Amino acid sequence: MNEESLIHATQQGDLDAFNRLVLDYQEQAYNLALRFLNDEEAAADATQNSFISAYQHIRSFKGGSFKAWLLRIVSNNCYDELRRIKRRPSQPLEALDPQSDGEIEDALWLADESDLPEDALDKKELQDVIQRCIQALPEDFRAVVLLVDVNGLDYKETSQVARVPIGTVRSRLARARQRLQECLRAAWELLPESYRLKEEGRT
Amino acid sequence: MMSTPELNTREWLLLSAYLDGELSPREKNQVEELLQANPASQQALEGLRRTCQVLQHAHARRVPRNFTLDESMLRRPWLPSFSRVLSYSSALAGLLLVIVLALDFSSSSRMLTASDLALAPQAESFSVAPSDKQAAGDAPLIINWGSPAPQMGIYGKGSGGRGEDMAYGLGGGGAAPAYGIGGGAPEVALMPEEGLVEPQILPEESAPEAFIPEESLGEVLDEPLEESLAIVPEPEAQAEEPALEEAPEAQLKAPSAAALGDSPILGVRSESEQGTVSFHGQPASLPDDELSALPWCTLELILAALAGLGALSAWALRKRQAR
Repeated sequence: MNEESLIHATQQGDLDAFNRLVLDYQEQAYNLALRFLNDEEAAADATQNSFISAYQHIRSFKGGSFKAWLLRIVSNNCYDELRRIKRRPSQPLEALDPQSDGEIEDALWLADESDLPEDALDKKELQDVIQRCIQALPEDFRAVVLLVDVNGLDYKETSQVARVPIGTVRSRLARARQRLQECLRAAWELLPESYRLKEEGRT
Repeated sequence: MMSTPELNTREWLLLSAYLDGELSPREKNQVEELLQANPASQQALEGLRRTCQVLQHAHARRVPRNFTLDESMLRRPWLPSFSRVLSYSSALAGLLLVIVLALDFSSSSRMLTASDLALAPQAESFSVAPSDKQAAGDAPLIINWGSPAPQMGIYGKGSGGRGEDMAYGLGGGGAAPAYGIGGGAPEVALMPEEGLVEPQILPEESAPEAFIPEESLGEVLDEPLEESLAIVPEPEAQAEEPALEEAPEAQLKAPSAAALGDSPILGVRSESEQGTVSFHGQPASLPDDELSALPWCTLELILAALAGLGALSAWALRKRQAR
């Protein structure tokens, strides 16, 4: 069954049809929440709540991009979770300085077990740097760059998800990329050499 | 890595959107002209491209578990949480409080309007009723507040004088209901026809001169002041006092007890109306108003207490649940 028929069946009350949609989108939803919140448990809670909310309000989906509709629910839940965490912080929210020697205790970005140790280490370092730089962004900038650059949404879908005009999406994305560029430039030396060589080779 | 080129905000914005293909044809032409004219813009565009590639290559974390749903997750609690119940109840109490306050205020306004209307005819009853003789061209009534014979009809503030003439109007006659302003006072003439004290121009030798410096007198007046125009109580006022006392007494007749009961009256009625008391309207029923206000106040207090306690309890409960 294609996505449209699955959505239609869900709107008729078919839970199994909706669970197939969940399997298709759960990784994207979870990674968006994880990048946004930088906390596994909070990201899992936000993702689960988002799918429950999506099923309960499936009749409000009137067509268009289901991905954008679903990710809007996820980003709203992430904002709510972020506010809840700020009220009762259990861990510091500020991103670590990319140039610092300290390492993140939680190895969130473990490479696949099939990777060679060297490749795994390269990937881990890269993921750590990326996550630190994303976490250093303000929430609104972070949401836009995650939706466009990480999840591949276009400007129109992003404006629907973030509920801001397209001009605001443009502006926030440009400023977020500038800041990320500065952040990655400062940690450029920390990036794996193979990655840097690959990048230089492409240019 | 190359340093960040110096571009303005708009140029950065255009370059970023150019990377995503989100520019209008006109804007696209502008960017391409900029890239040809300014090498720094080319450097900036390359930097943005690398940044986007790094983000796109960001590793996607595998989900820790499947987030598929089952019926138990979708079952909504039959009863809402207690904190929510408290929140709704406090909001409802607050809303009811506003409604009760509005009703109370509007009813108070109506009562005030009704009491104003009740006052209006009473105010008219205090107007001076000129006698026939006065209408025939006699000197106008003059109220001499300084006279020692306040019985000429002035029962009110400023009467002064002897004890039996004490004011029964505003502030007076404490035991009796107020029939002064606001009360059901009869129409009265403020001054009787006889015993009128007219101002007189005194002759020069008896009247004290006004203290006016001679120099200013010469400046102000062409002729020296010959007469003092000071109006002073005439010397015969005291001699006529007995007459004055008699005249009002002759005119005034104590209102019949049957008409007034034990209540004092204001003013003195004209001869034709002596012995009759007319009431215009009824005094405001203050006791009833005070009694009717009590349930409103109690209700308002109860609702305010409910709203405040409910809100506090909901807040405390949510705080505890959040922990």
